[in-house]
Amino acid sequence: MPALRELQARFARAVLGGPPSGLLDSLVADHLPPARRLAVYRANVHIALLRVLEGGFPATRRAAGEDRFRAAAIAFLRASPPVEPRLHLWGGAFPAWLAAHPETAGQPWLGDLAGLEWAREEVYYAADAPALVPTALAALPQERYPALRLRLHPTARLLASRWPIDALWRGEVASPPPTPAHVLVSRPGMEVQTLVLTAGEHALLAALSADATLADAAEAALDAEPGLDLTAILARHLAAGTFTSFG
Amino acid sequence: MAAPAAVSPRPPWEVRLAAGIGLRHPHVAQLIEEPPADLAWVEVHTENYLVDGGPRLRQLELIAERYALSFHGVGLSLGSADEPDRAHLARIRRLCDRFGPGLVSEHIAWSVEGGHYLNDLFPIPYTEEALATVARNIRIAQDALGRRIMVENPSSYLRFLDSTMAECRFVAELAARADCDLLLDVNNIHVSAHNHGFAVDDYLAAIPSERVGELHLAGHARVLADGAVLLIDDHASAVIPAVWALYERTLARVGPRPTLLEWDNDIPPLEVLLAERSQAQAWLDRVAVHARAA
Repeated sequence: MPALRELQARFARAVLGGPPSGLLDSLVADHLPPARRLAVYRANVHIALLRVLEGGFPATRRAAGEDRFRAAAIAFLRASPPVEPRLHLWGGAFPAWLAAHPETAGQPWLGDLAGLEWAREEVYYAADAPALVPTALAALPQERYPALRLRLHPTARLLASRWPIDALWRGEVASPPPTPAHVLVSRPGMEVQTLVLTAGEHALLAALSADATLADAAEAALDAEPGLDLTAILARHLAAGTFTSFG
Repeated sequence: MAAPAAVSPRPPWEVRLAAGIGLRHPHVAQLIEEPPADLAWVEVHTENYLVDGGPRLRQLELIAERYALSFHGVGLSLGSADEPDRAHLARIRRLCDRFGPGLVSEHIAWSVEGGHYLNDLFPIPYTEEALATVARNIRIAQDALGRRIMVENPSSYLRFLDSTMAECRFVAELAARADCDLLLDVNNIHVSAHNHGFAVDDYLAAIPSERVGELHLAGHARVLADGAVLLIDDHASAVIPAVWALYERTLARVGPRPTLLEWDNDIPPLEVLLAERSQAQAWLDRVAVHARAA
């Protein structure tokens, strides 16, 4: 009989979908064959992990269709099972897996859509942090603005895609042509926010998150989108709680 | 960042003679806004709250202001050949320090192997090697958490050929060697007894009553497999009459213990779960009256 460690290694391989070699001989055979008994555990593991992915990626599931999502999810959970019991941390590699999975080749936007849902998951469970109140900059003299460094809220995630991931996420389109989309996901309070950005707005926030001054970030934003209304954009994000502090 | 003010923990004796329910997401808002008067405690899956922040923790704070808490872990994998993850234990310790649960429990099972967590509770062979290994792991957990824990008897669908003792003997011996308490899941006894053909009364007789700190009740499914009926511990339906009857016998033998109604899948309206809880409470009250009279 194998020692406990070896027995568990064989068991884990078998329940993930591998061959039950060397394990069936270790199981009691009675009125029900050991392979049938083992199959209960394999089904339990697959369903329990599938439910985790279904819970984290509902829009991706809807967009992919039930059969395609299930096939991709089961292939993923066999290849990349969770590495620890905090299951909310598992699934970060699923978007890239989906993008590369042959079953989803006809829906090239699925990876980026899943990326948006994963950002929402991460943000939901992230540490709480205060948002900069909208009036925080009001008392600041105008001449200080160019050198200002606005820090994005620690939950903020910036996404850019060739595909309209925001419309896909809302279920408004099913089979869209390539249309670039920019999205900010953040949680300044208890609600996860998903804000659609323009290209220039995305460039501004990306530069600020890389610690650029407001002047340098504004330049990057105007490069990406000439004519951008910087004042309006700044007001929008102060109101939305996109920033946490400034210096 | 300053830690939020600790919620004042309710002492464990408050849940001694009460039946509680497993806290499930669809019921959280209702339990916060309209707390049922006779619900003293709820049990949560510890791992669901090992998060950095956000609504989950906020909800648990609001729940802890209204009910005593029990933390029921599903991720320590005390049955693994490897020792439990120290970082995971440290996170559970911090959550316990913050919320002060009256009851803390885990499972006699394993779920971690080769660095992977497989999100199910797998059976262990009932051997001397496994006994020594699981007892060591429970001791490590109790040291790290700074308290005694309860471990739950498993439900299972297969047995290992090299087991050298009955499950009930393994469970009793384990509790003695690890010096831990037991969470006796009445439904699991029923399920495993059916699946493996042992007698539930022999099982109960082997359990050291003084170590039993909590009881679990749940529903299970009957599945036809190759012409035989296999019971699956899916927590997706009401407690069946045979399990209620076994609960009554368990109470008669071990005495009144805090009892939890678990319903984790196909979750019904809260009222349905509360009605099951009331049924368990009625049994508990009868046994408590009887115990006082004796």
